[in-house]
Amino acid sequence: MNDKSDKFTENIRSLLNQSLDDLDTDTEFKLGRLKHRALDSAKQKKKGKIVWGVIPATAVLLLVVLFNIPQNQQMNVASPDVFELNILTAEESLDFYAEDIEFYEWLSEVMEDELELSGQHTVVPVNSVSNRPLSAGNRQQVITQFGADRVSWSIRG
Amino acid sequence: MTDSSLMEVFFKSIERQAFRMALFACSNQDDALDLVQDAMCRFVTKYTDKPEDEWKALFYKILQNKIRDFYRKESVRSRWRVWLGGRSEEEDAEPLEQLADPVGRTPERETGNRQMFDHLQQELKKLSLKQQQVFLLRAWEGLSVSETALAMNCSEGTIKTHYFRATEKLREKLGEHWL
Repeated sequence: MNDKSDKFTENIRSLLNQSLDDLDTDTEFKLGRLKHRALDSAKQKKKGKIVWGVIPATAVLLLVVLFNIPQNQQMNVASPDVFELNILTAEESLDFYAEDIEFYEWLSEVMEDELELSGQHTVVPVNSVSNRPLSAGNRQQVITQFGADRVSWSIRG
Repeated sequence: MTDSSLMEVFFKSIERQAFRMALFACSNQDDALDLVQDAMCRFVTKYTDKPEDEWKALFYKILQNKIRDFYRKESVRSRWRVWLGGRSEEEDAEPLEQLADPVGRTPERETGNRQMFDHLQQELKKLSLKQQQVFLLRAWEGLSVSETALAMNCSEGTIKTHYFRATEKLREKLGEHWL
């Protein structure tokens, strides 16, 4: 039974295979053409995928570049203010700076002028604060500090 | 060998069988060519990354889906034709008689083999679509039961049943010629 069955299917198979050889050239040509069309469509889809893949990649790159441009603005690092340190470590009481500083500044200027007139020109000690590059914001502080130094120097002699 | 040339070799190896199987199913050369082309395009875009030894079963799975879709569309079209009452004399004739000879030979030139093939073709067409395609995939394409089940999208038991019934029917009809 099995042998008969195998023979039967084998006969059918060989007949079907023969029918492939009987295909006319026109059909063969059409089959070849549609095969190449299918392969080409796959290539075009791949190209399309690459183009569509480039767009998000470019967008991401652009974002990365934009967020990583070196910033000109310097970060304000919290550093101890030298002027405040000087006030805190000075021998004078805080009331001296709070209330009478302007008067003492004036007084120091007058005394300095008098010293210059009398020919005893002495260099007033300069605090390291005055060597710092002055920004518009802390210029007033530096002037005040400078005045305080001079007053302090004048009082102590 | 690149993926593209591997695919080309694969298509070359199955294109004619695929065409014949589609032709058995739809009985029209242009429709059969369309079905094969659709299946190839679909296969190339979906299954190129799969292992090569699975290609054959996957390709026939797509082709079988296309054939099923074709049958559904055809049945809808024929319903519309009946509803519109536009049946021509030609359509009333036996469908097998309407089948164009795909090879285009005249009856005078047909050999004995040719007659046998025509007879086989007629009997294959009398089978149900599933029995016909299961028989072709198993007996002609040499797919295993599991591969045929994958291609036909049904269980292995169903494949065995369809194959057995198809073989029995064909043996009954063709037996006198080939046993």
